[in-house]
Amino acid sequence: MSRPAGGLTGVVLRAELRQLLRDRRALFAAVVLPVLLYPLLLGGTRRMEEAAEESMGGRDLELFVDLEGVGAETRAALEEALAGPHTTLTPCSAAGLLEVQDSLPSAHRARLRTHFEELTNGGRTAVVLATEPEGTEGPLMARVFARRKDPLSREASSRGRARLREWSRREGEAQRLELLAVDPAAPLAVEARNIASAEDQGGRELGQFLPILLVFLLVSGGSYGALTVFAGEREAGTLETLLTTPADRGHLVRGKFLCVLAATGAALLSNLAGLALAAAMGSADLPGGALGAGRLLSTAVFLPTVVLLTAVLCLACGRARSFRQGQQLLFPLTLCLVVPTTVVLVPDLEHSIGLGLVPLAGAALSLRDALRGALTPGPTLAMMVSHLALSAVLLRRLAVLLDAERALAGGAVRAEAAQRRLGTRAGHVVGGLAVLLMLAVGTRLQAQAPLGGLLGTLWLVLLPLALIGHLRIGRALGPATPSARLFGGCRPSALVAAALAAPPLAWAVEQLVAHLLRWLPLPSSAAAPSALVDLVEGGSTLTLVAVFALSPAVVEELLFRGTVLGALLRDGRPARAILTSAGLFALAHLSLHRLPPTFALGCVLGVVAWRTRSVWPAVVLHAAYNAWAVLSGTERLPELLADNAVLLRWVGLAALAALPFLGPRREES
Amino acid sequence: MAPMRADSRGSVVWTVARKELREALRDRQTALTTLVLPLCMYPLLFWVMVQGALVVQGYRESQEVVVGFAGAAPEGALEALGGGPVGAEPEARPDASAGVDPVRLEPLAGTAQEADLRAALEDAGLGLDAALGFGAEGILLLFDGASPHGELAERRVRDRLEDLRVRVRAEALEAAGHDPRVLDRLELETVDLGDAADKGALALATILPLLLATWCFLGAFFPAIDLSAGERERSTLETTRLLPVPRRWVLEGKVLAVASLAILATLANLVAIALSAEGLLRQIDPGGRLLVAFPTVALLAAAPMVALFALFCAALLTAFAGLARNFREAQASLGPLQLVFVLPAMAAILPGVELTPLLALVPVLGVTLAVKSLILGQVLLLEYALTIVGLLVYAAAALSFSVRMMSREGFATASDTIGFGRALRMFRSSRAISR
Amino acid sequence: MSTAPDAIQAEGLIKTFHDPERGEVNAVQGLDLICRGGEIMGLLGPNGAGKTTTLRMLATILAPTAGRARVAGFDVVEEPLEVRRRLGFLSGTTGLYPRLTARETLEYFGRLHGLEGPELERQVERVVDAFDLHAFASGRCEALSTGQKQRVSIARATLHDPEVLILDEPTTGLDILAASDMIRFIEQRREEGRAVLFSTHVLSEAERLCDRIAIVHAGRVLAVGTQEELRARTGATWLEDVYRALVAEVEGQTA
Repeated sequence: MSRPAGGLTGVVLRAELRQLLRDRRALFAAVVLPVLLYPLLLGGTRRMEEAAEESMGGRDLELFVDLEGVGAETRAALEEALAGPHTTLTPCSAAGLLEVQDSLPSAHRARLRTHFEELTNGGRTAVVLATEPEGTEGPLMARVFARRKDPLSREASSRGRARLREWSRREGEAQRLELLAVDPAAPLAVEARNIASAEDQGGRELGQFLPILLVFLLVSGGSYGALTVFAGEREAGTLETLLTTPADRGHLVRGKFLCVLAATGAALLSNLAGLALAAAMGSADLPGGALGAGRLLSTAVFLPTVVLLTAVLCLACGRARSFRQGQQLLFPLTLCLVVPTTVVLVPDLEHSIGLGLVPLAGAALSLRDALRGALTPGPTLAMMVSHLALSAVLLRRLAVLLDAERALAGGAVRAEAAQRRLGTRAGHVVGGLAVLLMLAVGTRLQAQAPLGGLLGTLWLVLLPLALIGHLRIGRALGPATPSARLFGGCRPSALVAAALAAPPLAWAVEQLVAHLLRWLPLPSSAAAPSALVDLVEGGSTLTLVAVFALSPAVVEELLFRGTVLGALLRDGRPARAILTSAGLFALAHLSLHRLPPTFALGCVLGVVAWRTRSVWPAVVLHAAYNAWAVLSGTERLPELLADNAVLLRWVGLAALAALPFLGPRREES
Repeated sequence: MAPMRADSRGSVVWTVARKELREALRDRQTALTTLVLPLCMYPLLFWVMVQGALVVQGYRESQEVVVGFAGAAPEGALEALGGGPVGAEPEARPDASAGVDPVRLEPLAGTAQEADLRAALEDAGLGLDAALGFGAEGILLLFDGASPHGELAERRVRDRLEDLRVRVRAEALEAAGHDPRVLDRLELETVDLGDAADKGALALATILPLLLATWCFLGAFFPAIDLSAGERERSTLETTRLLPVPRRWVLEGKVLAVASLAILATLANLVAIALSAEGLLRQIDPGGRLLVAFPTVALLAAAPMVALFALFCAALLTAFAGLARNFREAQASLGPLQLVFVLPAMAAILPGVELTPLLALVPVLGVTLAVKSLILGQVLLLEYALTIVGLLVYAAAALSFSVRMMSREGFATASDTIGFGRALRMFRSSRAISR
Repeated sequence: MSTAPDAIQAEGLIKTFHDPERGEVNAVQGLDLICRGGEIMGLLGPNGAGKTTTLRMLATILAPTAGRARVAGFDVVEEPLEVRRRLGFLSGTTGLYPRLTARETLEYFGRLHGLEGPELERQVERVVDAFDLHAFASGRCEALSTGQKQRVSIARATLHDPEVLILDEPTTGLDILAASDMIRFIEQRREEGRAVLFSTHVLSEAERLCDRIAIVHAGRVLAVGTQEELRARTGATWLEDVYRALVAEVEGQTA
């Protein structure tokens, strides 16, 4: 009765393919529609854009001008400059508008707006007001009044400005010629020539978006096949029958996977054909037109990614109980899969073996390099191997999933696992909420008032979350085991050791940040809000410690160590609990650049809280660390401390090492 | 005992709508996609975008470009370009040049002719990102737009030389005894007459109507399928058809429920964007140019129209989805309809397209344009009235189609998905049974 | 083929589920069962008694939490593939691939059972003849009537001539004719010397078909025996009363 394994996979593949191909409606939507759609859609939008642009440019506008403030000669020149096609100039008296200022109260602004509307018969245009300089010397002052949000007014204003600027440039040029016969800057005139070939240029441009587009197309195109093949089996009520056949789950999964792979490939090809057709018909610009056969062939490095994405789709749809559930899963899944590929947007990021190992990101970079004709063997090989290996792992998981019931050895284990999940879930919910609140409320508050927002976020948002979360978890899950109870007291020696342990921690984090900045340089625009900078530079030491050390230490520790870590620790897996709480703590700081240092800090604080069975040593350590960092950063450490920094570092190291052993005494616990 | 009669239309519609809403919101999937997903997704999406932008910016600013040069450089040009001593090792140079946008200059052996420069640039051993040739007539800048840092090098060199040009001219004028400002004939200032809320209105007016239309449509999409095709799939259709009240009322209740879910989803999306956009955009744009202020008043004014649009979407989608046998088929056949909705909405946000009485009657376009005009602060009463009438008429037509469809014998007995053409044929051939 | 004396042997089968809402659910709590070749055995019990879970464990779809079971001489946990080769399984909710024809469905499952070439053709022809599928064998399954679908499903379950047939409420949702077809089919399997284990809550079906009946209640077998034995034990005439008497006996003990 035995037969070659490939045969069985083939049997499943053929049956699944046959079913997919007979679903005419789906076939049409997945394969035929894209070919028709892209030319229509891209052509349509382009036509619309052109029409809209044309209609704006060709719109007859009445531009209001007030040139009374300038001399007759200049006035004539300005009028000539401002005149142009589809534009009539209407003189008006606009001196009243000069009052407009950003600082005006809104009622006053509204009055001026009414004045503007009366002046211009409705306000759907712009007013140009020119005045002589206040002194004798200096440039003319030209103000263009408009309402930016109205498209017509915007168009009028941009016409006026463009023509004035052109006039000013010409005038300036003439003036220079008059004053300086020879342009001293002439030897500095730059003529730039791009020596890149059309193929290179096209490949580079294509490389910046094609990887992202491909992943998107693959997921959306392959989803229907995956849903039909996996979720559809459950829905049709045939899964039970299939599972009682003496076929190995691995063969079943492989056959189904190959079918989805074929469907995904077909959908991808038809999408690309549609795009190419659109480009050929001139309704879309595709920069890849000049790509040679070699480069097109080398895009085959992306094939392992097609396999990987298909495996991900199969796994996602294999989990879904119904078509509907699978369908609703797809949107967030697509987003998650597309995000790593956006790495190609980082300009000229160099591919490396390490990056090659990152799922999807590595593949996107390899594809980008292939299109540029600069494929590097090491990273590409790493990418292909890692992607195929990951696909194999996923497929194995899928086989296990189909066999899920059997794989779970017994109910006792399951019940315990379920119990374990409750604490973890509670910790995830509170931590996740903290991150979301920081994102949605915290950033907003701090945007409005940096200092007040900072304090408000901590004390009015996060602290209530910590306390309510703690109470609700306690009520829902009952009293925690002693090792997960972190709100209790601690040994005074632990508090002392925590206070001493700050300098070495601050030093280590500083080293980490310095190292990190080489890989992840901080942009010049990412500066702290000026109000906070002023506070840091001008505030008293006491204020600094209160605002930047005590306040965040108390609130963040109560939330992330007390409530979140406490809930996670109920499961009895301390390493995982500490890493998770540190991850949430790091995410809540909302900055990719600060993610690694805050994560490391979170781990240390988590270990301290866990070992001392109390949140208070972590509060003290956090406060002392922040205080040390802020004060040494502004060079305001008390002299005694600053002079003995090295000594303190060693003493602190000993204290830090001792901290984990300062937990409750045996008889207490 | 006489059978209880529910003869008030309102109470029937309300009862049905309440039941469907309760059922839908108790479904974890629907609740997740309607409320939780948007509330989490937008903040996260914005965060990823902002952090991505910061990473890109930081990476860009820190990358050093290598520029080779040949020929006699005009005075000050090299200093302006490199910021440090020429040819020095990076470690030996002062910190300033290693800061933002570093440029390293390398003298080339050849002449300033294009051929020599090109050879140097193409010589991989030199590792140049761009090559400069200083000539009497001007500067020739060669770069490889396809090489890793070619464009970066070109932009930096060009920007710095342009700054230098301005400076050189100013110095020359000063040396000749003139105020360098004489070259500026005109100082141009643009004054926006809008208030603070207007600032964000421009960015939003261009995109918010499209977003609102899309949210409404997508918010109604799955619930509509669930309440019509899903009903057939779960075989509860028979029960529904046997209710002792007019089918139209039942259907109206369902459409009301779908519309409510669509409105809920739209609100959730709007709140999520409003909450996350401002604070996060400030991180990459401290100056506030990208500031998004919500046109609250305009949105409140637009709310009834958006609600009506949700009703229209609900009626249309419910009518179409009712033809399908199950969730899967409904989803497959309604998918392309998304484009029919999104395209007019996209047309509406283009500048220059404005609400006219005629356009007000075009199904999706009208309402999108109306919302746009409200955000722009226009008041076009006739057009709004026409838009509203249009939406009501279309929704009613879709409802009638559904009701008439449901009362055909062919529909009651069909066990598969009914194509649109077949549905129309059915109106002619199949006998109508009771409403 | 050999008809082993014990086609199905189950000892102390236990199955515990964890339900997020109800918590721990003990679906089957220590079930013993023996079914011999050439015998029709019925599992009789109300909904929720654990019949389906038991059958699914025997059919290797679920793994037992504890206990052992052998089907056709093979352990369901250790050698599930061997069990499945000798097993036909059919439930009331079993579906068919809508877009495959009846014949393609049969061929597909035949291949998965390891049949090939002429042997596969022969077996397919056999079941097509046996269940009179000629009229619609080349039509898509989605277009078949309920009765026709049921016949295709039965044909599918017996295509590989299994030693043991496990049927979970096989007549649910069938009309009189289809149900009687099913009953005839079950009887025929007995005549061929195969073991049939089926669950039902229809008493008349059990009375007519079963050689022996196992009364299942709350995850346990309350009593096993021929109808006569059961009547003698409880003193009741009708199966319904037998059932009630047995349940009352148990509840009296626990109360």
